[in-house]
Amino acid sequence: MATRPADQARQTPTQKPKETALVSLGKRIARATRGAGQLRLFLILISPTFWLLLFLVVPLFFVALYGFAWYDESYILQIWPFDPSNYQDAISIAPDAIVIPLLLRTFGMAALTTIVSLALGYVMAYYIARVAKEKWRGLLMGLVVIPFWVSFVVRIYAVFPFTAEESFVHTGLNSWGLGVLSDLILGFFELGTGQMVVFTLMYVWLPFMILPLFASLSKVDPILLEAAYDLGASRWRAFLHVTLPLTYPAMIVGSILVFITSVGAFIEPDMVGGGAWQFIGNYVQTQFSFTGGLPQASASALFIIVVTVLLISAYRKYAELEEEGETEVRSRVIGPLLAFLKKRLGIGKASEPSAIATDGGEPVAAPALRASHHETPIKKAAWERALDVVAERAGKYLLGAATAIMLLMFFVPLIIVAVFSFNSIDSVVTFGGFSLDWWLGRPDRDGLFEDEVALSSIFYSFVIAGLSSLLAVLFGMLAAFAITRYTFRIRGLLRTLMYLGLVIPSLVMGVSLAILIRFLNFYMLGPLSLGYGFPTPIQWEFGLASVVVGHTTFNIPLATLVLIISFREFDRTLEEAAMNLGADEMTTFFRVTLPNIMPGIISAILLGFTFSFDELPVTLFLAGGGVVTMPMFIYGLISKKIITPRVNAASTIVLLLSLVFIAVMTRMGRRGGQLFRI
Amino acid sequence: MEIKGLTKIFDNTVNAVNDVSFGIERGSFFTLLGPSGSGKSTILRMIGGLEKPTKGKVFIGGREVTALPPYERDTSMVFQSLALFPHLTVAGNIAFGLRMRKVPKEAIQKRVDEALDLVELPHRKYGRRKITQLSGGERQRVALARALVTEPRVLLLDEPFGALDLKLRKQMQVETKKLQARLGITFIFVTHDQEEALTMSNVIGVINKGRVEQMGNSKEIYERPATRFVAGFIGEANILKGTIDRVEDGSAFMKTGEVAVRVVGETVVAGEEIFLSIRPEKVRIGTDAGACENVFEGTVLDEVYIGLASRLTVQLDVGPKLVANLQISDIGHTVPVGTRIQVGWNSTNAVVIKT
Ligand SMILES: Nc1ncnc2c1ncn2[C@@H]1O[C@H](COP(=O)(O)OP(=O)(O)O)[C@@H](O)[C@H]1O
Ligand SMILES: [Mg+2]
Repeated sequence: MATRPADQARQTPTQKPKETALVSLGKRIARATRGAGQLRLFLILISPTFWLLLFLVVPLFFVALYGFAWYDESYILQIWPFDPSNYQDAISIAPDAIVIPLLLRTFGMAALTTIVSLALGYVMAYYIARVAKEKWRGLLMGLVVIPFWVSFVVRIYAVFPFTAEESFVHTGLNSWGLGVLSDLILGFFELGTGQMVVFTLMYVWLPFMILPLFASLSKVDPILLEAAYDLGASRWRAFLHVTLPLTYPAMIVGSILVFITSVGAFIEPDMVGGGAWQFIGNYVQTQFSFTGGLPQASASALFIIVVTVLLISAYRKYAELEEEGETEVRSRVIGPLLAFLKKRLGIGKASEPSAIATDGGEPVAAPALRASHHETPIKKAAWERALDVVAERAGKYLLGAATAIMLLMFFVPLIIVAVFSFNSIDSVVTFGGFSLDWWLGRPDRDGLFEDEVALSSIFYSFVIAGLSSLLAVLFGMLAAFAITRYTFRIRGLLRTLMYLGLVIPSLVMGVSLAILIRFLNFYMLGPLSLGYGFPTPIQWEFGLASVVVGHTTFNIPLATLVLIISFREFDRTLEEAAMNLGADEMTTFFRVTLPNIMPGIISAILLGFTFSFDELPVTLFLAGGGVVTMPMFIYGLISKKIITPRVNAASTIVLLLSLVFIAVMTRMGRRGGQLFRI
Repeated sequence: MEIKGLTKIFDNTVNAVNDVSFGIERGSFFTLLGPSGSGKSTILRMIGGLEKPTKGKVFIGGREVTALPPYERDTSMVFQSLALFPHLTVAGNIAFGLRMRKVPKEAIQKRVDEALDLVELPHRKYGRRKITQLSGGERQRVALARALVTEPRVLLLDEPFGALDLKLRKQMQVETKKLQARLGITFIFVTHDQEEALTMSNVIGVINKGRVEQMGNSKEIYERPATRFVAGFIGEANILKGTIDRVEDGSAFMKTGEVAVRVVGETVVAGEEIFLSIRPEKVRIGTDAGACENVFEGTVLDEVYIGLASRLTVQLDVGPKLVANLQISDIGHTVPVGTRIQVGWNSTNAVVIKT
């Protein structure tokens, strides 16, 4: 057989394709570390691990440290000698104590939010995963996820029209003779009330609950339920004894996510709770933002850190045991919990055995089973039968209605926000006619696009989101590569760092990074630069760089998770084939591996971009005076009570961007959804 | 246990089960045998109450249960995928049905142990294990124990050994059959494996396209297939189509193409169109053939070695092809392609089939 010219070309070593600097650097490193697996692994791991340790973990210790700080006479912050008074104040239960009551309220409200989210999230996830027609599932799940990509500031703002009596919502309802409904809504959606705070937290973070539950419920094999029916379980009991236990892990994941997020919340209570429903986060933030409050802010923030770390470690332990197939985990953790609740609530009698002890006792001799003495057919209690009939006939409509109402609650407000950005009059609750004034402006009215702060906030948001998502993907790729390809001692640590980065409340991340930067400035950069003869101390000013560092830090875990999936799905025999055909390791990586995981890389960048674009809490702490992002701009107007359709216009931009993101992700396939597969 | 006129139409279009009726004696091992998609599982699920019949009735122990939900029926099912609960231990799985019946705790433990004994799993060792820690065969036993522990009147088994390897499968077949004989519970067993059906059952119902083709014991099904489908599905068969020419003294002659073949004449009348089924192992070859009632000359077209025998395809001079088994008594004995050969069979070894 004749060799074709192309083959010849490929065989000629001189005709290698041009290498970029990066590729040739990589090749040199690969060659240098050939046979030195440990060294290579070190090079791969060093940057992501170092980054996460420095900007995620170390700052947490500084929070603890600064809890011991104090101000001297000249109002300079001192760390040494330690001053325990802030911690003493923080754990004080004296009548005038501030922190503990706030903490109790925060935990109570967070727990309530978690329970409400669990109940509602379960209903929605159950309907979508197990009741809705298969062809609707993707769409419904999309509808649940879409609001998640819209900055929560915008989403909270979007609910405001329902809280205002003069709003078109209520005048409309009244004019249709639905005054009762209007009163009901006004009674519940009242700014400054506890239920409004719980509702808002639930409303904003519900997807955290639904996503893991949906993934888990879709995996429950319907045949298991048939088996349960066959073994004598009614629908109700089959749910209780089969479906529910199978979804415990997802329930735990969702609950931890919602709980931790709620414990660290401060913007939500601030926006809807007024002064009456402050969380611990609000205290941390206010203390932090006035000079002299830093030690108190640190001491009380430590509570949030401790809760977060404890919950994560408990979960990691649980997940490990689950993975190892440890039978008793669920019955040890959840069984007693349920039994306790049952006893407390006075329902049911004895707890049922979840596993039968088989130790001890004489082995049973001849089997006693006989066809002749079979059980009498089961007669179910009337209520259980009735429940079954209801479940079978009406169940899907009830669940469907609940899901539909929730989805409407997600979307109608967002649509209203967009519509009112085109209002001709200065109102966000009554529509006076169509105009573009709030966008383009007119002589007596500044449009969004005439507002320099608004324009620069769009610019900053893009720059920050772009830089941080790219950086995060770079680090994430290294981490994901190491995690999927090597076994190493700090693998557990790396994974824990990822979990930590994913669930740590933004408040904590923002505060702790800000403290780290202050520390660096005061104790290291300042003295060092002066020591080297600089005329003025060099400082890391809060601004673009600090915000990018912050955003990169929370984007790395996201990127890593997405890329781990991509690396896992990638068929490694392709690499073997490439090397077999004569490609060296680096060539193989760049020509075979990289193109194949490209969809994952793009998803990770998009995901990071959107998260960063919508982010507010971390940005608030790190932006300093010079940087304003889109969500900051919106939040600033709302908290200064400058609520005009211009806020709607700005919100609409955030909304549009999210839609673009979703459209791209949908184009790229199911990858967006895979992130949340557990 | 009896079903009457059972019919299931899915989505108004797929007629999965069509007017199926049969009764099963208490304590017998009944097998539904049919190709994949023939409606076996659907019948079984309707008996167990997991599927609502479009038409027809189900009786268990003389009581109509058609409208009852599965949990109020005296049936237990062993699922094809086994459907063991992954969140429960072996003991927890077996106890499930008893817990649903609110059996007291101590009694549950005792009966779980008994059930494990029954399927020959040492309960000390297995009770606390997780389902994921079991081998295929062990899972199989747990599924069986779980279904039996509630002491059902009827045990429904839907291709339970489908996932096992051949050896384990044979072993489980023997054990299941023994267990059934010992317990005396009615077993309704579904399989597409004719060998499995023939070796295990008291009665076999052959299902095709949602209808019962034939009911009978293994021997009847194999030796007296009632339809062409049964003849072809269970074992192999040469099917000849023809018309009865004349009937005389208990024998009849069927004309197929240009030749007349002698067939058993008890059930046929002249002019009737029939099919004749001849098993390959009933076809004699070479010198043996000479003494048969029907003898033909032919050429060997193909020889396939199948271990116990050689399978010859012979082109008869008079038209049709015939497959015949050649017992290999001596190693190395072959019949090369192209060999001229005589084949024949006796009319009593060929079965007349009307449809
Ligand atoms: N839930 C269902 N919806 C629609 N068609 C079904 C359903 N279940 C089974 N069928 C159809 O009914 C026929 C019989 O199926 P089944 O009873 O599972 O066959 P078998 O068990 O003999 O392989 C098949 O054609 C199958 O596609
Ligand atoms: Mg089947």
